[in-house]
Amino acid sequence: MELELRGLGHDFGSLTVLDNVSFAVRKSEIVSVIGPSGCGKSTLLAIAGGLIAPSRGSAVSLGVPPAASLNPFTFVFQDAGLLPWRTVAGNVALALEGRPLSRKAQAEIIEEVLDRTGLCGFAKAYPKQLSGGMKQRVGIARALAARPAFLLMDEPLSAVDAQTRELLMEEFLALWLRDRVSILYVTHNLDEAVRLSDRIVVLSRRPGRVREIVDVAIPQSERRRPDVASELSAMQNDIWNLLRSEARNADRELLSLERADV
Amino acid sequence: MRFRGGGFEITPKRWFAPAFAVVLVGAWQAGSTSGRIDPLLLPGPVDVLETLYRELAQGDLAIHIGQSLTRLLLGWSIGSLAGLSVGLSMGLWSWCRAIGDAAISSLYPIPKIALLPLFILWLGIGESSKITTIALGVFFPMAVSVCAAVDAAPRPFIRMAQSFGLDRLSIIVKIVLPSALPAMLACARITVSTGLVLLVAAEMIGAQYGIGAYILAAGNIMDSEKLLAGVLVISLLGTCAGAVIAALERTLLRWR
Repeated sequence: MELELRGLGHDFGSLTVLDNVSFAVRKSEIVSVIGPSGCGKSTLLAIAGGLIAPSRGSAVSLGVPPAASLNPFTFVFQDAGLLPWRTVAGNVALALEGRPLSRKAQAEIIEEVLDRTGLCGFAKAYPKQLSGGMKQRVGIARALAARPAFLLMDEPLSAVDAQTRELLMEEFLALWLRDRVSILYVTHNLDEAVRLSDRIVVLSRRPGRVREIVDVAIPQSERRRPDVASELSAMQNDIWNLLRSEARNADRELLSLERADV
Repeated sequence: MRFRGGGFEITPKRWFAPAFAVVLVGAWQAGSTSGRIDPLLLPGPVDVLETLYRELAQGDLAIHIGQSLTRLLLGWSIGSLAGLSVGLSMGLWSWCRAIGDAAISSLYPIPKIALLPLFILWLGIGESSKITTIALGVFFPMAVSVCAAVDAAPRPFIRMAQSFGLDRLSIIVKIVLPSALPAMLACARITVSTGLVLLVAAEMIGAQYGIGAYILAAGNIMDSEKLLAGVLVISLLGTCAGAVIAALERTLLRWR
């Protein structure tokens, strides 16, 4: 599936958080959205996935989801969003409930996705017994169970430590290389953006506007190679310079606002 | 380095509570046996236990307890169910909230036992007026706490469920109710004692059988042994109800 955002704008009351945002996520692409905090990244994702109706513009999905897809546009949330009163298997089952599937078919899907995400012995564990990284694996397993045609990921690795993040990124890329579903990936982490995406959309400070769209031409599978490392880090540096000026200006504006109040 | 941490942890001391009880009851018994305590004002613990045993075996205390238990169970269940449904509706629908907030804030402060005479006028002196009083006393705290618990149901969970395409009813059953369950059980603990208070009060106003009537009758003939036996029964009832709810919490809230 593909997704086109056309002139998106959104207001919360008198506060404009997004303004005239347009870009597209094409088939089998990973597009990440990066920007200073409070620039409307999560709102953008919620609009793209149909959880919030935009104030202006539209999010248009193109293509027909495969027949097997239970939930074509599926989210993976920041802190995994697991229900504490359900076991790991129960949390994955949430993606399958209310669908025309037999109990046996459900159990098979659950087993398969737990296997794929390395959660085999944990089906009966409760979320409180899991580490942050394990929780996020469950979040990804639940998303996979819905057979998504498009994934919307909201800072999925921001709640885990650096080593777990590295590990999960590798696992996640391996999963993606098999299915190649399109992904819209919101993050504040430059390293994640540069390692995972085909394109990086840099948003300005609030109201979020598209500041720049950076293409990463190197295939994801080759980004760990030492000879491309310098190219990637140069790219990371350029984006960081953009973000830094945005963040500084935002701080300055805040300061002048406070002075005006006095 | 001189040790300067610690000192504020509460550690389990298993024998302190039983030891304290033994000392207290022992002193009470010693006072009674030695004649320092007037048995009319406060009969000794052994005498109270003997009376309780005799009354259970021969007298009609069992009938009193049976009557009281039926009233409490019916009143508490009706009140809890009504409170649950009203609290849930107030948590889910704006118009229910608007009406409910106003109604509850004006009716909640009324001591429910003050309404018993009115209920007797409406429903007669029989069971319904007593059960209604208990149900009403249980209803308000339950409605208020369920409404607050629904409010506190984590919005990210609801949004997550919506993102997986769950309909409104499924979200209520699978997200809102389970997240309100701890608050409901905590409230049940409180309303059981509210129910007991109203039960005894209602039975003292007009009942032939019931633990409240039993205590009142014992008091009228200055039989303090029977009176205390009745009080002991109420205390045991409350403790048992608490134990049942604690067991429910252990099984239903294992995930915490």
